[in-house]
Amino acid sequence: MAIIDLGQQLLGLLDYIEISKHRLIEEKKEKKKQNYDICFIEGSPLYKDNIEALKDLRQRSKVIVVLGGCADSGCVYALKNYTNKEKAVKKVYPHSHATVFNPVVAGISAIIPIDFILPGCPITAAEFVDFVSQVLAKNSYQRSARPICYECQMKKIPCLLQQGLPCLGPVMQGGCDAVCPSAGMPCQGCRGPLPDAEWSNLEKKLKELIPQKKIDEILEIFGEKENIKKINNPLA
Amino acid sequence: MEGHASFVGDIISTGHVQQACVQTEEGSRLIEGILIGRHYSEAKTVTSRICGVCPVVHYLTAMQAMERALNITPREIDLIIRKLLEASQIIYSHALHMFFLSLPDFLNFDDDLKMAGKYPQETQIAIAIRQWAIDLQQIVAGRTIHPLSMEEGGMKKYPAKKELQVLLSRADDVIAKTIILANFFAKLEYPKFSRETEFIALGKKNEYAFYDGNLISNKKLNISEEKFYHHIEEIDRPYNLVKRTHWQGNPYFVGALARINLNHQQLHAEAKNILNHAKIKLPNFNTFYNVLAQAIELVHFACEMKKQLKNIIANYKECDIKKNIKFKIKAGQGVGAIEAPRGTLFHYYELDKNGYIIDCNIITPTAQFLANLEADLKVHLPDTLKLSKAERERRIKQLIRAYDPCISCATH
Repeated sequence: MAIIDLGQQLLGLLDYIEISKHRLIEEKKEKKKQNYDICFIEGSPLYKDNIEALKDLRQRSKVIVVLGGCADSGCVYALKNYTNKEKAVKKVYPHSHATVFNPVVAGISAIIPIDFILPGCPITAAEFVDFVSQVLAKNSYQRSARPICYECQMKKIPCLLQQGLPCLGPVMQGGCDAVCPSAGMPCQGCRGPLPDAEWSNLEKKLKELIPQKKIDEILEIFGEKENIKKINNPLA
Repeated sequence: MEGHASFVGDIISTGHVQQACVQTEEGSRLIEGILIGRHYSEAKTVTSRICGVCPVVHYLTAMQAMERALNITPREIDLIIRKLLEASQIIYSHALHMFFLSLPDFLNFDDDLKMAGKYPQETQIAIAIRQWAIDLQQIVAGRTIHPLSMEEGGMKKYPAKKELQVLLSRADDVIAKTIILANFFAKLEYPKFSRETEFIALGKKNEYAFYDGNLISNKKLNISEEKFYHHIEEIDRPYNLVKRTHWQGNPYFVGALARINLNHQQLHAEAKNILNHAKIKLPNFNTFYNVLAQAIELVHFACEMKKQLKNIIANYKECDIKKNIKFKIKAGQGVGAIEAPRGTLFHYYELDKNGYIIDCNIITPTAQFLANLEADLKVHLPDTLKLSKAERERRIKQLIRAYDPCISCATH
């Protein structure tokens, strides 16, 4: 949806790229299985068919790009992994739960190898445009690894952490233009942690502000709790 | 349309329809299951992710339900801001659906980009209307997809007055564009069809209800949101991840056509004008006209956005987070009900004394009208036998799309 909202910019990109398949805006049947230069995949696999589709797309695509939090880590749906999923399915489907496929939630990299990730919930549309532009220009893609704090400081947003709000900005990947802190909302890490995040330092600071249960809740909401703990403890 | 679904129809040789069934092809994310045990403040964040086309209304409805559960009466300024955002959500969604999802059916295209090539002016108009809504949601909610700035009791951050004034300065141009687009839709050819049903929507005196009200219908229904919610029948069938709903044992329709049928007297003048010139007699049970109803609402809600923008600017001194309502966390339950673009959306939550969710339920408009769509298809299918196979397929898809189903919402 974020890409459709690009509006004019999207139409402009079409001078350079061909969109072979996008199910929101067209309904053509794929006459024969097509090969793709770049395949952007959003969403996390929820059906057995999805798993087969992912393997099939991997074979037919030169490059697979993970598009957004769901495909990256499962995003908010990963909350299911922190609750009893049997209870959850019985609550939603009291009569028919036995027929509901109820997998553990994960990103698509659990099923197929992937090449690039455009993270976030939602994705930053400008990052999508940047990705396409870089690939068109030089056949490769790079993105600077900077924390959200960098972007808050550039925009002169008064630091929420210093105001006593539990913000994950120091350890999470920038590139979203600090959109949440700009609206007064502390970062909850939807883009995932930086590869060299200093989690233990931030954890110490957060423990001064809120109880451990609340820290866990914030790390769970976008499914990043395991990722952040792995960074400081790779053997976990 | 939004999300993926398939239709299975079965007509036997005597013309009798044995089966007319819409199946979702989305997996279930079990949103209501995974919200149990979470803090009340997370419901709006999580439920807005149910759908990329209508995240704003989920956020607002979750917040409304939580405020009711916590006995918070929102300040007047915050109500105005939320109505502004909901009006914006409706035109954002309607312009997308009418133009990019439904119109190809009326003009016989299977690809939006080809259609945009043949109708460049109208495409630019649809994009410009959406751009105003996108910019407004960015400025007022902090972000277009998945809002940020509103919270129970008030706002985390209010929009800047200057930015609201710039948005207001664009209003007249956008309203003029919505009128052009609505007239374009009024001139399309709509297939002939009619099946009487119950139209249900929010109703309020002196207002084209959309943010709150009683539930009303063309069959003399008039009850509170809470009462209606607690008496909806949800039907859970095996291998069908979308639970249908019935009202008093029958399918019913929610959405733009329901709202126009029930509340057209309260439309803003510019929208009423389009309705009068379209020469459709009300009550109207031709669900293909849901698309025209959306076109009329496009005009109405653009006017509504102008009105609410003026309101906020006139009362800007109230836009102060220091005036946010301070409240105590307590056990309680609340029903939120707001007219989403596709019809009435319900969120229900029950909280424990620490503000954690112990029960919840979300009933989306698509889940509510799917049974009605299937009933319509059952009646219309025999009429399509005289068409060629390709035309029949097109006609069936056209009716399904006219409803504007949001399959991601319905499945959640």
